[in-house]
Amino acid sequence: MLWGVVQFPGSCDERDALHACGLAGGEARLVWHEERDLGGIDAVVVPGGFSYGDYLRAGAIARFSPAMEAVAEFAAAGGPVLGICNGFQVLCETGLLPGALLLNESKRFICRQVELQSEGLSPPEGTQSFTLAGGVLSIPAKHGEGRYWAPEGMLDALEANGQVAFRYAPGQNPNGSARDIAGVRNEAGNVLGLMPHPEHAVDPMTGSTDGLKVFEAVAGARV
Amino acid sequence: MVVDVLADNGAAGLNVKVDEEGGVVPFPGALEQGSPLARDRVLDRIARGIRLCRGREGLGVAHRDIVDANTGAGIARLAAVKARVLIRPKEGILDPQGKAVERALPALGFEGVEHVRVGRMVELEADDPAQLPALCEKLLANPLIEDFEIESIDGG
Repeated sequence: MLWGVVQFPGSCDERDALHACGLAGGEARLVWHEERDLGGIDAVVVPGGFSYGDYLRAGAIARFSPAMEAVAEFAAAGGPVLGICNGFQVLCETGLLPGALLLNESKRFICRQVELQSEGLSPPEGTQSFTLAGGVLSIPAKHGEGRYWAPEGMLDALEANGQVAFRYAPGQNPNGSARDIAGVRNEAGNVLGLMPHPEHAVDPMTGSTDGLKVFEAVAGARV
Repeated sequence: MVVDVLADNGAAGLNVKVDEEGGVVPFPGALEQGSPLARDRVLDRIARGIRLCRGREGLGVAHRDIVDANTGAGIARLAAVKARVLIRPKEGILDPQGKAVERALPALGFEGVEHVRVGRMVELEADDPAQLPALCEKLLANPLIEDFEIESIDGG
């Protein structure tokens, strides 16, 4: 399989994402933000960083890039998309994922290992999207604007539809996210976003390898 | 679109509106206030039913990017409207910056200040102010989490 990792000016986690994609299986290449063609790519990662300097709002400018237009079409056609940190913010701004990410409640940039409760993902009926077992994942989080927010009605709907993918383990919510939500997916099930960084937790040398499970779930999706 | 019809003698021009078909429409009261030459030019254009459109680059119409739709002759220029967009977090959404400011004030001796909300202000000049609400919703603000207001700066 071929992974595409989108690179904006200001991205900074694309190399770790490439490495993680390779470990999960297949080849991976960078997709420069001016590229409009995702031909041959089987799965897309929108990585972390500070695309376009986070000007205006995190992720607000990146959504207008040619690469994101292509990613939106790819997602609409059922292609698997994983957004991490700034990538999650970009996907929310693009409207591919519900909700928004706000300034951390503490106003501080946080950088720490967190325990994530995977709610367990199974493909929505009629799709062959991500499958991820429930359980606790130990993954680093590093962000200043990671407080997940959506109106109450939308949060209820996300929970009812099984769209909440990850929550911070009890007592570990680092940013004031609504209902401890750390990651969500879209209704169709093929677009997944989370604030913590699974690509930084793939090698025993740096501790946990739990992040690989997230990449393997994306690799296992079939369009 | 708002267009400045030039007086051509160095005198101030006259702001008019150009409707969707390119017709020239003076703002109410503008004809009484404009310089006589600009006023005559505007009235002449209306009388002759001249349609205006945007000039194309490279046609030697510098400073006259609005041209006569039939002859291509430079005739006017865009008069941008200055506006200010105020963006703030929606009611009910925790605003940690506002809270921090609110907590800092008593330490400086400013008592009795509450409900501080910190937002953003964007100043811009737009050829067509009718576009402003759409561009605010699409880019300047995220309507899910932010409210915005558009203010005209110079009353244009």
